Amino acid sequence: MEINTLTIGSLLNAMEQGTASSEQAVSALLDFIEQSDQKLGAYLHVDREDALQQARDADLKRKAGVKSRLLGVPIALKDNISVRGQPLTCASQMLKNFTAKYDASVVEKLKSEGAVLLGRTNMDEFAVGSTTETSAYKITRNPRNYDYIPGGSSGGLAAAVAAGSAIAGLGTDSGGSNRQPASFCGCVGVKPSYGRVSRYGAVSYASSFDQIGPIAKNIYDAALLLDIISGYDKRDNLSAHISYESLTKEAATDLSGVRIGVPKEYFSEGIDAVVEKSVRTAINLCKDIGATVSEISLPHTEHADACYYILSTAEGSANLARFDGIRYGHRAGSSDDISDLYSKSRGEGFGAEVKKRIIMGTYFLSSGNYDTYYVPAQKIRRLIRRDFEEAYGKVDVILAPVSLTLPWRIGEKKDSALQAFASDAITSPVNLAGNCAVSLPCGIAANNLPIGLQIIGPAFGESIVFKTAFAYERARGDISYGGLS
Amino acid sequence: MKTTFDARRLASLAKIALSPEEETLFQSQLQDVLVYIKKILILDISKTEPLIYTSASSAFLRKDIVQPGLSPEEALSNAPDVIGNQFIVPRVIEE
Repeated sequence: MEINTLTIGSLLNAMEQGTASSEQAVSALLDFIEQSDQKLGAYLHVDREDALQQARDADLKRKAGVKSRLLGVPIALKDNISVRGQPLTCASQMLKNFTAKYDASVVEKLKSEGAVLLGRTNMDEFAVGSTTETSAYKITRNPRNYDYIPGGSSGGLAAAVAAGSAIAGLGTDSGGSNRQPASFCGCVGVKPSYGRVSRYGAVSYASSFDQIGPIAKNIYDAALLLDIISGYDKRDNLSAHISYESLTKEAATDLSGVRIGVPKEYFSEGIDAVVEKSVRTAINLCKDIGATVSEISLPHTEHADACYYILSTAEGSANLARFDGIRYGHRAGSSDDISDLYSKSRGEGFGAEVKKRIIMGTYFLSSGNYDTYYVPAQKIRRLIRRDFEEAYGKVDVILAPVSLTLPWRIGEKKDSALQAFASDAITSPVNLAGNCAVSLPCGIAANNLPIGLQIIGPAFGESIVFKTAFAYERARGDISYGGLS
Repeated sequence: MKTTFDARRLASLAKIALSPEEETLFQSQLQDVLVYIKKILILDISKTEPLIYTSASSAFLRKDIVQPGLSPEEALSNAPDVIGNQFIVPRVIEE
């Protein structure tokens, strides 16, 4: 079995036909993780015996005639999604010894479909970052070129999927954290519409932005996972009461009748020429298969990064206030009183980037600054959403780069305070508006570095996004990256 | 319009103890961030309403009745310091 190139679809076929078992696939994957992860650094936690037992149980169920959509398929999880009995570190020292006490809603759904939970992947600490360098535990490397970052904050998962040490998995995307690492590693990343997937059991960073979504090797696998995890959940009080059509049925070969918009602001000064060429080639291919393409404007794009930063740090500072060393998490060894305990525990438990974001969020919410920064940012958020709404009156989907730049070398921009803005510039508008988007490979640059295409849809417009993605992926054909570093 | 800020005071408000090196570094780095963010303040947004929820729903409330949750044992199991069914904390009230 070529374990590196397995997809959910191909593994399900093989198991149905009896040419492979879940135990064989999971065992081969675990061996590959053991062999590759010393250098790759994608995983924080793998329980070999537990995964193999889940696989054996799945094989028995298959023999007994059980039919479920992921029976025996191994799925990796970003380490901020709760699984009862497993660690939940969020790549932070703050939660070094924490054991989760319940399953996230998405985990309940994966289990009910027979998935095997394979392992927990590395991330930026508390999902704050876009390089996976802020993890308190290890560096994850880009499997296409080990000297380079995998992106973030779901960098561990994207690296594992691209390397073949995961078939697929679930990460979270608050400002681009699934799409950007998928683009940097050469796989598929999804940011669902806000409210489509329950946030129950995902550790919160920015509550009005966070969404759980798939990272996978192809559009079909991403569509299948999103079908499974979508749906109303009363435990997430902003979960949408909407019924969804299956996205795996959107597989299309041409885009006749589809109107594509290309926002001029997403190809601004600062875009890498290789990225622009690759993305425009992809857009032309969509035209070749029937789409009409027109330039559009999303005029408030240039303010999206600042707007996202203000709102997400404000929300993050509130959400991370729960880590106080009392009920769970790191507690300082000595303290004078309760206030001193809080301060020392949080000072020791959080990493630098998380502390900076909390400080900024506190600033934006403080007296005198709330009306200067926070409320204006909420208003600009409405303007950004309105830009998209007006655009979708003329086009069906928007195509754009995922990142203005290629991945950079590990450590190259670690101390840059403004790096966060550049990384989130053309992904965060989607989160600000509550829309949906998919990132999928469209090219390769020098040094074997992948380039991603972003397909952006209106809120709850996943059908047209996936139709476009399916058709483009088929027309594009396979992309051959160089061998793993 | 405040653009100066005091990282040390804000960290104290956020209950985060910083080392002297962190205070110096964060003060400088975050000052740069604030300068960058100023650009949003030039927009005319006087006639625009804030957007709070992007969701199709708007924060439904549930009835105020007891729902199943963690057992006391589960709730205590990750605590750094417990006695019986109580979280142990340092002195809270001044003598």
